[in-house]
Amino acid sequence: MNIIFLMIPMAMAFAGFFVVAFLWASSKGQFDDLETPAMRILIDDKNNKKNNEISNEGSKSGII
Amino acid sequence: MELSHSFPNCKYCDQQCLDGAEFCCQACELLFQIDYKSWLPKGDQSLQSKKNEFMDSEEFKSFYKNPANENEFTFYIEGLQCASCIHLLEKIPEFTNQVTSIEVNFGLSLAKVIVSDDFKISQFLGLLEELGYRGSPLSKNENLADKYKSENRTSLKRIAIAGACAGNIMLFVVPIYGGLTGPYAVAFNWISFFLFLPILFYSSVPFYQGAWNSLRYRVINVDLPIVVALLTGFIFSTMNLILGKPDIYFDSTASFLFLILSTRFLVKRIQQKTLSDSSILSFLPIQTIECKTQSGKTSKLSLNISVGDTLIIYPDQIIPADGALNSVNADIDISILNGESLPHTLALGMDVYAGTRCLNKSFEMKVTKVGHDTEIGKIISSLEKDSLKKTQFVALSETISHWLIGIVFSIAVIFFFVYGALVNYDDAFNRSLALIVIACPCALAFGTPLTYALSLRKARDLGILIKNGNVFEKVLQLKTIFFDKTGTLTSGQLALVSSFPCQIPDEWKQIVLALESRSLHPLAFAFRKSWSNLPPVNIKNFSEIIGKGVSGEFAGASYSLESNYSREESGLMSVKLKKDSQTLAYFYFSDELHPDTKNVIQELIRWNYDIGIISGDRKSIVDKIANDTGIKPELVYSARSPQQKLGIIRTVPFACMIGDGANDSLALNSAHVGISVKGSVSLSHNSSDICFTRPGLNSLLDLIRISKRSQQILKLNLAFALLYNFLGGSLALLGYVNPLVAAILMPISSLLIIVNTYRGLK
Repeated sequence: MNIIFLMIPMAMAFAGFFVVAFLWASSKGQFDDLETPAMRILIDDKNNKKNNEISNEGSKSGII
Repeated sequence: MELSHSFPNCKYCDQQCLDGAEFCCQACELLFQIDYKSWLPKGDQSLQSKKNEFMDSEEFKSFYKNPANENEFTFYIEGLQCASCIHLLEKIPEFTNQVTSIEVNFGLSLAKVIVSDDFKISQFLGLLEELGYRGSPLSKNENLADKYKSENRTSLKRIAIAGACAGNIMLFVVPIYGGLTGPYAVAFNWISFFLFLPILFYSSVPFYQGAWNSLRYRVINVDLPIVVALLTGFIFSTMNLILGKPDIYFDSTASFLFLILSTRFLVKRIQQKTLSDSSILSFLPIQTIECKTQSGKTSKLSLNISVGDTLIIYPDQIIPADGALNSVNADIDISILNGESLPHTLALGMDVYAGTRCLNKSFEMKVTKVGHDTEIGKIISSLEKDSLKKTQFVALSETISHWLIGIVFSIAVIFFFVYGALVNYDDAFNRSLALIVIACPCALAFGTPLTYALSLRKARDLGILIKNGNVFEKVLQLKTIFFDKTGTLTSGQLALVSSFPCQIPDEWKQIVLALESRSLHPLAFAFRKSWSNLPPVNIKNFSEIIGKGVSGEFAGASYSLESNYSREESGLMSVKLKKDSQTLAYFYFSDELHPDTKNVIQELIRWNYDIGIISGDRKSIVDKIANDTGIKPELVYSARSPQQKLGIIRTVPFACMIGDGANDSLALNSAHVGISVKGSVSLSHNSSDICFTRPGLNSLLDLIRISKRSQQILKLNLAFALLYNFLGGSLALLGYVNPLVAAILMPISSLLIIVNTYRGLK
């Protein structure tokens, strides 16, 4: 049972880390607008799209 | 339950389109058809950007720019539909050098624009127009997004901390429920105690504020029992922890608070969005007006106009103040004030009113009243007074929660004294506190807001913006529904319905188009809409007689288009085309019904609602509409002023008013439920409870269906909560509730309510 004296502080530190990370993200504006970024990512630039297709084909044929 | 109507999906983004179009927006069409890199804006030649030139003055710009950052402007963008719109708008810096970057907020329909020094608002708005959007600059006060930002961030932080602490308390409590005793159990409970402190001192602050207000103003609100449960739960558990007794409730109290905080945040987010959609534009836009002085002309912001100024109003400008006409005559569109579809022709010395629009020719006016003294200002200030006087509607759930709180507290107190006197006070205290902790109105504290939040969101997806969840309950009490005519039952725009002779040669059509080509008169729009494929011919010696018509020469003959005064009988308006002095043709116009109006009204009559019309327009026109839609003549009122409309609404209990113009706003505000339709002026939006964002009245049927559904779920939740409270409360008083039972019952009841709500409003 002595392992618990290590486990509990570790668990608390872990939880604390995530809470701090969340607070930091929210003060940087990460959660201000939840809708737009999700839509922004949907449409590629037409030109980039072509590039992506080429590079995908390249990786398929083993050229990387 | 069928709620959504089937429209074909957009070819580009696969989202639902509104009115059977191929694309949901112009952005999709542009992106679908062309490579945007090769597309360039046509420049600033459009009418719109000329009209907006006054916005380029430094005075105007300094009013709207962000005080913290010289080069930052915020625009409200109408017409955002899908991802393509964001994509296209954020490409704007590639089209113009004036804009450095754009960031779109889709949810709030805002664009934050960082600009270069030579930025011209008029050109930017022209570009937006070309892309298919309508933009308007927002001043710092109108920009709600910034206002909400810090508030939302704080709420999120409170929730995050409550969630993290509640979750960790749960972990430490599990072994104790599993049977752990001895020093480890005590240590785990102390850890729970310390994890509870951040919730007590940081996350719960809004509840303390609410409870304090409740005490100060002597009204019971739901914050009060939450705070009592929180504090008693904490004190009770801490005492037992110190005394080494078993009943410790840190875990259930913490998770309960976390759930309430989260649902409240959800409701707030949805309401913020709804409010920002509906109230963002002010009624009288700030503009630059030209003033005539002894030495010449100066321009003034419309805010600074004072009594006695002589103003020059240009076509399509909104008149900023009440005054007397100083020119020979003027055509003025006053539909916003009285709902009449045809413009008024005024002569020298007659009154012009703020908020109305100049149509054809610029004119001069002498200002007699400004601000709150104007006709429209009077309406605005009586609205403000009325909304203070308006009796607060008490929803069913509020009434029940008040009762429940009162009953639980009195039972606890009575039990304490009776049981204490008969058995012992120590045990009595424990059991009474257990009752209060358990019987805290869970379902009321977050079941009701959750139901409202989900219903509000569902309604918003269907194009119905609702300002408050309580409205659902009010909608179900409605008995009579009054419609405004212009813009609500009808599209508000005149359309060419027939002509005599039936077949009009193309040459005549081209002549008519040419005669009307420079006109902003509603009839000119109707002509252009019907014959959009024909080019106008070149007309010489064009002249316009205000109030009469227009004339010009073509191919050696003189043509004129005159209004025909025999329109009253048929309820149709007409004009005649004359060549020299011989009449060639008559054209008939009518303000057409929305395509779905008739079906909606028939359906409402089938649902046993009384239907009526209150309009400011002439009797013949209103009666014709009533006849066409099958509305019974008893409830049809025509030619009513805003105050008379208000009077009619006041005499009918449980009446709903649906309208769009400023003349409806008093009635909208006083009606049991006020609804403003798409295309309404902001004054009506602000005074109504509900705004429709889709054209037509189908949303009204959806609204009634959603209200019924949300009320069902609310009742189910309440019934469950009452049952749970009754059982849990009796068990607590009998002393059967130990921490294990309480800890299991609390989250399970919450979970059941959440599941029930989500399932019902899927």
